[in-house]
Amino acid sequence: MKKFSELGIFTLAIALTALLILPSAYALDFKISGQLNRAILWGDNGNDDDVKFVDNDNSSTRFRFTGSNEFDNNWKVGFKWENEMQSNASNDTAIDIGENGDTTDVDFNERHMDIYFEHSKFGKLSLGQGDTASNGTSEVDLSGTDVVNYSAISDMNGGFNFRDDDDNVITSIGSAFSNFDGLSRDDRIRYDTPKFGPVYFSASYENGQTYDFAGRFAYKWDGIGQLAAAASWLPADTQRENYKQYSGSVSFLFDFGLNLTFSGANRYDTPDNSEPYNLYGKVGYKMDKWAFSADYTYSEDVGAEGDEATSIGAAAVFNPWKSVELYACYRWNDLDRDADQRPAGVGNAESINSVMVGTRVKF
Amino acid sequence: MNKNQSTLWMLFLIALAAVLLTGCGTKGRPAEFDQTAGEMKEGPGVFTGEEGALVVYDSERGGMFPQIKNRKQSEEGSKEASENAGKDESATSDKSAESTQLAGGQTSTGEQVTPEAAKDFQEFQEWKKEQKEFREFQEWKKTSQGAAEYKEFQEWKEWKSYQEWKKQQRQ
Repeated sequence: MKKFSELGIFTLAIALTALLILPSAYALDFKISGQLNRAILWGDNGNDDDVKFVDNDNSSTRFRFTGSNEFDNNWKVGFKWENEMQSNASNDTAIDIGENGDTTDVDFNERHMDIYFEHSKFGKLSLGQGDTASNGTSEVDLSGTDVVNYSAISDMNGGFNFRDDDDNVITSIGSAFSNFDGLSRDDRIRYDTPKFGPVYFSASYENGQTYDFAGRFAYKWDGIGQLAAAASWLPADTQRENYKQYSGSVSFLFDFGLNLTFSGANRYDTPDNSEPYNLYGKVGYKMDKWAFSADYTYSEDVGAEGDEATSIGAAAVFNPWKSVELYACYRWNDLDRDADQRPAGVGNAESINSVMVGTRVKF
Repeated sequence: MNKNQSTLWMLFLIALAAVLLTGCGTKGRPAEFDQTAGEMKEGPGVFTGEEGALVVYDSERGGMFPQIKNRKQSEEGSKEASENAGKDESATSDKSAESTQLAGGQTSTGEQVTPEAAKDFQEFQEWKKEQKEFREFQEWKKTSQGAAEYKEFQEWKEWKSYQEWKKQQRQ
């Protein structure tokens, strides 16, 4: 932790000195921003219930530094350095129902440490820790409730374990569900094409001879609404990611507030020949300061061969001010695991009910 | 792969609907693709205001901490302008020079300002504020936020012009 602080201060000092000494070519900026997202999470696993005070992993507490310098009206060079700092992450198994302790220490995780070169005609090249091309392709969501409810449903309560009626642990929610959202963030090199109308494409290459491709689309129809969609493909089948996968999601927001979101992903060519997949659907309604949604998730073969995991959720988000969100979400999770996949003497899983109430504040 | 063909079909149908909507001549435009799920909240911050970030340096807006500097200048400027406006009206110092000094936030306590100069300065401050608002609007527009927010913005603009009209009527 001390090393992180020292490194942070050192890097900041260099960045600031550089900004002060170097003459700006065209436009130069350096900004600091961040948010806190804290919540109360109640859960009932069929045997016991508990209340936890957590950091909402749907959009964790974090801070970031960004900077850019524009040259010749065509070139832009910039960086994004974003760190997540969570105390009791809502998807950490250390806070399982019945566990009295907190997670032992604050989680300080890198999210972005990224430098990019952008040209108005040739696109954008990024190098460092950051979004792989496929990251986010399962998570397009225009509902306005994604702070507590989106396709990565285990972010809310992934640390709670499914148990049988004798309180034997089977597996966690986080292990039973996945939206297979590409390769997340990683150390990589990534290229984004310029926009061709509403579309652009991306590719990235990571350690372990892993690579991925993605496309993104966003369009607004006057008087009707807007559509955002993304899809990715991981064809690598290589040393580190020894499977192939495609993921996609689409969200349509009508001008009058109704919104529909769909996400689907499938992993194949896996070492054990299983083909886990996930389907997610959401319907929502968005008003000036309120947003409501209800969703349904079905994951198959994710935690073990034959697993059938289902979840239903309902959420409400209120924005009293633009910088503050208040939210609440109810979620029901269920897992059906075959007897031969469970340890001897362990029964089938009880359903888990959870409620999260919290607030996200951008500072 | 077979298990999930319905996913592919669904995505295909949605893509087809999008193509048809565009092809049928429905007016529209490409939008900015913004990933929101899992990402940091967009928009203003509690302490950082409309900007949503502490601007440590911005060459276009005046170097180090332009947010704080501009706010300070604006507060000091309007305070001094109102103080000076109440002072001796017979001051004969050069009006334009004073306005320039005021605009730069460089007034000295010994100088005296005419009400005209104070008015000029206030107009200058308003113009500066409007410029800032316009820049914020452009940045916001780039992010392509929801239609409801855009509607809200339009309503706010209407309300603002109505307030100005009312002010003019009173005068």
